[in-house]
Amino acid sequence: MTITASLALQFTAICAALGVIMTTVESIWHWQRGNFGETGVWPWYILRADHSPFASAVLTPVVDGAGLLGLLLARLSAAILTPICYWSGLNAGLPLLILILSQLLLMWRCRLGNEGGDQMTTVMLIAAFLPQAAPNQPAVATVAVLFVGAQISLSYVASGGAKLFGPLWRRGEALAEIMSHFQYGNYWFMSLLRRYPVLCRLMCLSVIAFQLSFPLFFLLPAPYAYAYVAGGVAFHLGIAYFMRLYLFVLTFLGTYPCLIFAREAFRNYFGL
Amino acid sequence: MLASTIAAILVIWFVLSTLNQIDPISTRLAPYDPLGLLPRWTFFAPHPGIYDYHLLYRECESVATPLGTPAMLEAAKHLVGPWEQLPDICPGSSRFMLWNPQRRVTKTITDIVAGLTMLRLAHPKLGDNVQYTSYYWLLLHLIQRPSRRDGQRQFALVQSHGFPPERQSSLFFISNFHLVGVGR
Repeated sequence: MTITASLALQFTAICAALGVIMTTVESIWHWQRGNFGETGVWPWYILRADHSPFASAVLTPVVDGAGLLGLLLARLSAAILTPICYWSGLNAGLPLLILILSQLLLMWRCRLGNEGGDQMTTVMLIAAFLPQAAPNQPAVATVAVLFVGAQISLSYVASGGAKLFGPLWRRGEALAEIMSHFQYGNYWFMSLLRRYPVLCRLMCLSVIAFQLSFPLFFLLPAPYAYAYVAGGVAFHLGIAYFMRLYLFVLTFLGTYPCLIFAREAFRNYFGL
Repeated sequence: MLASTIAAILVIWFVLSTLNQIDPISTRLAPYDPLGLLPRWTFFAPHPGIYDYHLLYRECESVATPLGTPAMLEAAKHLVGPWEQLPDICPGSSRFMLWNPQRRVTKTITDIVAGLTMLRLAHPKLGDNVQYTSYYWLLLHLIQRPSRRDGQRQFALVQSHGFPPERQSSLFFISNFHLVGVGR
């Protein structure tokens, strides 16, 4: 299997844009319900206290009231335009730049309520933008793809490593406890894991093993290495279904072509 | 030249991202990362989130009655109403896989709880100074929203685990009484 850096980034950018469409529609829904307003859940008059007075004063027109709605609509338009640009062979630099700036502004406005998918979206958008900004330099695309591949690998290894420090994970009880969560859990799955604690332990250890051993994806020959891709797809689909955290599917699986490219580059470099 | 410069920047970004996974370093880097460029990938670990958090409040109709101490509260308890939960903030178990915008609201409360926990760990003698944090202001703001008349309100964060009816609850945080009402 071979994949070019440009193609990998194109897939990543389109997935990121689809994720932005989903989250921006949610934000517009919240805006309509007044959740960004003075009586809402994320009122700017309180949140601005965490920022410098100068930056708050300068950016208030775009992060509060009608200005915020304008920002969200511009973000939605740019997210819709991004795949259209790719499909019609146009440079997607401008819509991607709008997505990056709006992403950073929204992250700056309020971190409360964000999730891991938002962090990966930032990585994906910036990586996708770089070769669009320097279209005549193919090396930029390669560097950007390797960066995305490194970040996704880091995400798995860091998450697996952190689990080793968690007593619930080490005892193999974490999944049943997470599924007991009313907001993010699943009653059926929780009952199953409680009924079969060995299954729960096995699944906890499998998650840790999958994440910690992820660097083997770069070392193992095909087709064995692609077990990690299959494992990752199952893992993220499982999270989306059982925990209803659907942004993870688009953002994390959207980086997989970059991961595959990074693996090939790594193996070529080291002559594996 | 351009590719090398971009590569150098991305390498630095990646190294900082790696360092950001380590707890004490992450705390030190946070003030320098207002745009959230440094990811934190330790999902559900080491201690996975297993609690739902509920924001509750109760009200004393009297503005003049002092409620600063437990004894004062005991003396005025006939003036204090029952605990109520804010319906638009309480955790909901959405069955929809592709549409669950409410999760951002409940995650906000979870993030506030995480922030308060970090503050308590970093400053064990914080005490009532917690009232000067934006986390506290935000919670106070949320329980003030439905107030139609002058009064005093107190809020509490209750953590619960499990599904009803076996759900187990315990108190995480309780505030002082604060004046609320029209124009406050």
